[in-house]
Amino acid sequence: MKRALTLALLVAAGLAALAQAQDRPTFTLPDTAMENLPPLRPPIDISGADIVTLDGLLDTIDSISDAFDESVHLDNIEAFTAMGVDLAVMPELFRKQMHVSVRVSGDWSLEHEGRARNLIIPFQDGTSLHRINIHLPGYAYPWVFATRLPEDGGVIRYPLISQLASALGNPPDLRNQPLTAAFGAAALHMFRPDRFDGRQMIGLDWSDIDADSPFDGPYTLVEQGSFHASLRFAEGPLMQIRAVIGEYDDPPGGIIPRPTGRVGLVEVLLCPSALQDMSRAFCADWLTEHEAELEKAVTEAEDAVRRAEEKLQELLIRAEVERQQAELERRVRETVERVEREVAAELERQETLELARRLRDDAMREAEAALERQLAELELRLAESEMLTQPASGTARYTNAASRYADALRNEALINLR
Amino acid sequence: MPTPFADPRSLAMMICACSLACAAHAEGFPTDVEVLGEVTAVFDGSERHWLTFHMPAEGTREATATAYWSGFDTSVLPEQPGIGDLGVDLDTLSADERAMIEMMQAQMAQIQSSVMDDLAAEVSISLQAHDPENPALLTEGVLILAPAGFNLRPEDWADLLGQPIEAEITYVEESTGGLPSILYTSDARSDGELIFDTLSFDSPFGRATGQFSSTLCRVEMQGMQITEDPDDCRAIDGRFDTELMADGA
Repeated sequence: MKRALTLALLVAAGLAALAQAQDRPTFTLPDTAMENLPPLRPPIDISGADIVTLDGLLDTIDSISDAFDESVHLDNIEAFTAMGVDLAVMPELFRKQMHVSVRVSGDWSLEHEGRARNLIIPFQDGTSLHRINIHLPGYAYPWVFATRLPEDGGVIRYPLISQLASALGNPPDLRNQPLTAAFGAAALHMFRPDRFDGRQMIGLDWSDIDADSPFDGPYTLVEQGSFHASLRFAEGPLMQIRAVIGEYDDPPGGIIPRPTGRVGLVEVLLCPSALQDMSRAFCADWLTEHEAELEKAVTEAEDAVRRAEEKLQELLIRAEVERQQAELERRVRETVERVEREVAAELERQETLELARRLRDDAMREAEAALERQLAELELRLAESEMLTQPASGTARYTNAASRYADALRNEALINLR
Repeated sequence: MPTPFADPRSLAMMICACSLACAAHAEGFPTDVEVLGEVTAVFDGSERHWLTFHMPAEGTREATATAYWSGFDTSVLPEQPGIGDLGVDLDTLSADERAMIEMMQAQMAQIQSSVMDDLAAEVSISLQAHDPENPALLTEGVLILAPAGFNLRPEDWADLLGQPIEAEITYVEESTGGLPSILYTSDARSDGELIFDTLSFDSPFGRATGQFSSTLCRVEMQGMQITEDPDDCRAIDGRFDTELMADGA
């Protein structure tokens, strides 16, 4: 490949090194050889003007592209009239003057206070589109904020996310995706005001970015942030946006964002001018109140979490006690059963011993009876012998021996019978 | 459908035909060019004839050629970073740490030098021939022979003389706006084959003779849309005899 690339580079660059002239035949290129050649092109140098003309950049917002005419910015009702919108169709369309406070800190610095118009368009789903263009000195295009807020009042807290694409494709409930695309777009062009019209970037998805990348320098994206709004005031909503902005760059020809390490904090406070005029401290106080309210909400949420944890702990303890009780009962039951088995076995052993003892005694008695009988029989034989030699004493002895032998026989017979 | 260009260099070669044409736009581009050599072949049953060109230097325009040999230009490679390029505050290093880094860098430099020497010795060859009968010969009817020899030094090429080596063979039939739109390439069947009979890498001109063959199948390119037609294939079998300009000489 490197040879091919070398060839491509060399030929594209036009030429290789000087070669010494030789005596070679020549060939005359026909005029037609030049006809099918690619047109000369200047080196690509994308500028802001080029970006807005890139094919496909606006495809995703084709349906509303008319509303994004560069000179209009949707700042006023006349803009809608000029676009041919029948205001009778949107009778509730109106606008409010908003006091705007912008502060950027970190690796960039910007402070601005001024006024902007809030264009409010109610929708049938109970939300209203709030669109505010903030014209900042030194910026060719306004920062554009647009969000749909529910009209049921209260304080709203949303996280800001940085993915532009998340707001594309009409999410079912835009209330879950406020300001994302708009603020992301604003952040994109925030520090490149000469390059990017934030309005044009609202519909931008990464897939729309040309492979050569329209970004010819660093740009910024929203890293994280928050959006708070309060709609309790008839004069209009109060809104606060805080976002961490990161700077990114692309390698030449690439489209993968690469952080440069520069970050900034953007804080925007939007307050109805009527309230601001009534009391310059009102919006700041609201912010304080709003912060206190948030703090309270956070505290309550934390309390709820703590209570839930305590309840959970209690349930866990109760479950542990019940488990231990069950374990104890199981152990007692097992012990009783084991003792019962041991007692039964002991009883059985004792009975066996008693039986053996009885058998042994019986055998002893039988043996003694047999022995007594044998002794009586032996004595009877001796008495018979003596009676032959000494009739006087022998007769008496024989009589006694016969009597004892008869007793022994009887005793043995009785024992055997038992 | 997968791209028929398994090797991206084939695509680059396609663009070469356009790039040459782009060069032709340069102011003062000559209408008379020198003939370095010729390529003949039986292509799809017909005898065909192509020429390789050399455009000598003139004024600020450098010489270029459609048949050339070139070494690897190591000057485009980044240099080994020095200890000061590491982003380390040298004052914070101990003597041992500094010595360790310097030793590691010396080793890296030695390895890079060795690699550079190997790369610098490599030689590649490219042949792009144009049909003198074609009215749009700079961008159409172009035959490109690209032998697949990588990491080869002149002595390696010499060892391959007389042996068939794999090659990318491409014929650009039509182009649109200078970009190839209909072409026939050996990539589909990967049977491109080339044999060098003689080869010299002299400067300013070497020489190459040999033969080649393949079956080229049709590919249509509309922008980056590439469509291959495996049923439309044409056999090619031919010879070449051309000088090779020493690129960079």
